[in-house]
Amino acid sequence: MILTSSIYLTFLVILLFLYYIFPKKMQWLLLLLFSFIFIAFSTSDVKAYLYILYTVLVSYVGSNIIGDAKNEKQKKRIQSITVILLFIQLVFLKYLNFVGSSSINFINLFGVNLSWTNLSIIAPIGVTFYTLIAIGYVIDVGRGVSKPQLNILKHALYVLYFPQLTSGPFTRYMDMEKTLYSKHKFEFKNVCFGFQRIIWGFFKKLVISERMAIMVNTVFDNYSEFPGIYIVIATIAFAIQLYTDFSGCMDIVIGSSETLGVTLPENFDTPYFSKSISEYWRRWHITLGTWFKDYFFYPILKSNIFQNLQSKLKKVFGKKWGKKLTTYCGMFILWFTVGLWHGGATKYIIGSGLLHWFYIVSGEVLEPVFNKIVKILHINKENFLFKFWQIVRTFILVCIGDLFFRSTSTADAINMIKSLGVNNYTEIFKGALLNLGLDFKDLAIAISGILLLLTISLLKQKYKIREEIKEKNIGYRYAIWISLIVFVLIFGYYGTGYDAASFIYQNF
Amino acid sequence: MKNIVKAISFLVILIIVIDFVGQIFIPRWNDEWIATPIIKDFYDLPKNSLDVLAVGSSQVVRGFSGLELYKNYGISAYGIGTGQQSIQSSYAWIKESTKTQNEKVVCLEIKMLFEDTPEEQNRKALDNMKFSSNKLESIIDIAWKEKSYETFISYLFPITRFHSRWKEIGSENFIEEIKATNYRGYSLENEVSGNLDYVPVENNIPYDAFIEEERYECINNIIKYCKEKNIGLIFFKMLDMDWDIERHNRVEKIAKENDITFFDFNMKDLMNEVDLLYAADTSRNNHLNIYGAEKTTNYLGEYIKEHYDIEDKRGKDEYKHLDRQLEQYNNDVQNAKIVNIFNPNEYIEALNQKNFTVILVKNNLPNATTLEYNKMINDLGLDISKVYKSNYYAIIEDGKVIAEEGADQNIHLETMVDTVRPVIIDTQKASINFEGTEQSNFHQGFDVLVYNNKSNNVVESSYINFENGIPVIGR
Repeated sequence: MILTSSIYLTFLVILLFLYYIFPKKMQWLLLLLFSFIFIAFSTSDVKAYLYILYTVLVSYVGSNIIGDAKNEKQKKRIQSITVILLFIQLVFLKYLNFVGSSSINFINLFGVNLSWTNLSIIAPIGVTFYTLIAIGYVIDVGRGVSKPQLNILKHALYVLYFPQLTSGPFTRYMDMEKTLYSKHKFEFKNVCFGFQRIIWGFFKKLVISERMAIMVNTVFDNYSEFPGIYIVIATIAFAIQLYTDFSGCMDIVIGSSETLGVTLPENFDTPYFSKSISEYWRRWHITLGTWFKDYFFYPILKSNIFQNLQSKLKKVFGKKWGKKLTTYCGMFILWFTVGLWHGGATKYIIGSGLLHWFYIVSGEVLEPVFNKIVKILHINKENFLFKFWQIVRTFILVCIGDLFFRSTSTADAINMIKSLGVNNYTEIFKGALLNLGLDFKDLAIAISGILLLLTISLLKQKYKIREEIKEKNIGYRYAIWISLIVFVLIFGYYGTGYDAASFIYQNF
Repeated sequence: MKNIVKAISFLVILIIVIDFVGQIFIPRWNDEWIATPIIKDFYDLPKNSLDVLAVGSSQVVRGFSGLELYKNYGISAYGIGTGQQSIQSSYAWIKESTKTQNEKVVCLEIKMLFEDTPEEQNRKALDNMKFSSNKLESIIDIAWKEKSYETFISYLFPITRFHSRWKEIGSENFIEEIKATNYRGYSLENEVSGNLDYVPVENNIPYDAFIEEERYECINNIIKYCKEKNIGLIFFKMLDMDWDIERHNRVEKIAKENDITFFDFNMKDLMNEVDLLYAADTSRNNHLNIYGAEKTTNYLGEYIKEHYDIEDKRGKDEYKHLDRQLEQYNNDVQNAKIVNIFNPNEYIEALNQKNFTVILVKNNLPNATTLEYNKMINDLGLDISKVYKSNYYAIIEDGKVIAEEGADQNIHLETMVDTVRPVIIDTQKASINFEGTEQSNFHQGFDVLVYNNKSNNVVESSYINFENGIPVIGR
């Protein structure tokens, strides 16, 4: 089910109506039923239901056995087996072709001549999201942070709660159990605020993101015809597309959940206002970062291999650098995996993974040098211009990663970077923006939309926008929300005449 | 409670705004098929003022002229036909009509029993219909058939279908520019196809054509509904190149089973009875022209008058609006028909009709003494002694000569026609300058300008020449 479709909105309205007239004790059961309906609308292959059932059963049985385990060792063993069983299915459904073809290519390096035929596997909607959520849950139970859920239906609801199936966010059981199964009285504010957020998500996705996509596709699909300035424009446009697409989706998801009184964690915090790459990752896809940190990075650092490595490095490079180098090694694996999670291709491993590892590590290693330069030049770090420069610098670095992410292959990305040398930058004053598939009127709407988004994002730093609007008189409030809805209805890219694509992260 | 009121008031305002914006975005189908005016004007009809409603496809728009029924039988009729209007939409319109009208007869054009309706044509039939259970039912039917919820929403809120037109929205979406007049659901067409390929349908094959289940169910619903409402139902089929005996048989079967009269104007016998000729009575797009529409509508009128007890509405105060419409219709028909006349006697007769101002300028025409020449001069009421001069002009209004001059030297006249229309005539150049525009054909003979002082428009410029003393009409 596409979140920007009228069928989804109708689905949500029907759910809300039933939800608030349903016996409060049973509300969670209705959520489970509607989560299944949501999956049924999104998946036509019967096998997909078996995959989903597998995840629910494995994580349920595994977590309950862990809960009953007599000692830590047994706990660890069951936890590992459960995580591996869940992980194997994820690899099978999402990465089998990547793993298979990469393995064959590697074997072929030794003179063997094997080939790999890509298998067509239809994965259920949100498979990576609900599998990682289930893995996190099993680990939390193993750590004793969460108690195992004894009711399999309640457990199924946690894993398959429909708002998080499209693109996350990654939730933690200990946060969700408080809100997901509790009784929810009808709160007018929740429903209002939820729908307001949904409308804002529609605005980001349908008005801005879909228009940016046209410019992006024009250049990235024919980059040899669009060198220099066009690569710059398209890369910035893609950064905007990716943000408005993904955060728009999150607005719809979190807003939907808010109408039900179920609070989901935030996934974005105006990431393009970040002053460093580390900060950027604390503000972009927040729950993914937290998941990898908690369930992947820290366990790696605490593993015997890394503890031994740290001891050895400390001996060679000293205590400080020994610890740092071990962390950098762990981060390398972390970022490699984050890149791999985005897709089984080197462009993702570089663009969303190792390039960011390089930024963070080189930033840390060179920090003393930068500090010295700042000192010599008498630059005030608190100065607005310096902060602005830091934001611009971070945005440029992110854009380079995005260029890899969006390009068809790593080789294409490198070629595009090379073509930045073509000196056609003055074309920006000769209507270069109008050569990328959007006419003047569409471009005007896109730019107005971006400016509105920027204004709201800046205001969000100081104010709670929805709360502020709520305090205004009824005419003012109605005018704002009705105008926004009508604006999206008129200028949104949806329906006949347009072909609005699915959310980018829905495919992960 | 306060919050519920707030939520409901917000939703009501939102729906009103969305509907208002949607109305702006719905295309104005104001071309010669007048889909938008037909529906908008229908809603303006006085309550309980209809005797006969015709529904169906574009064949109704070009074949059923309601004002002919009023003119000749005193019947108040209206046609609701849009391009390829589905039988389901026709049913919706019959029901919609009975909400405000108490028609005695429904004439259902049945072409679309056998054809699918594309989306853009469904839009024409339904998007301008006021929201009602009829409309909702039709929308559900279409969405169900397409298995598309988005389709349902797009008919419910047209903005979701037409929002991509936002770049085209201009003044025309607020001020309606109508390109053809709506004569109670009829759009006038005077083109003559001259197509001789048409073969009338003969009753020579006993087979029936297939009707899709939903359409069959719908026609049965129409029959049932009309019976319940005590409305007479007539099936009819206009001249159509694509029609065949199998389809005829199928409809006839349904008609017989339900005791319904079916007029298939494609049947050889009926064509002969009505004096229909495809080449003369249709335009090039396989629809009836004004000549065909007059014949078929009057035939239906004759039948209705004979079989239904319908009071003659002519001369009644509450039907004065029909008199006004009829006056305009007659005038426009008159304009439309004259351009197709090539027979000199008929043409002279047409030029002498009321409402026409005719300007004739002689152009290099040798004097003749043939009977035909003299008859023409006489029929037009011209003075032959003046006509024989080398320079000559005449102005005829409502069949009477109001100005005429013949001279050996050039005549240059600057005058007014219809009080305010400046005309400059120059006999030497054979020029007829009407309101700053040259209208003469500069052809040997009499160059003619026909102006309609009722509709205030130039109807045509033609010439009357004499070849071997025989008059020839040219344009």
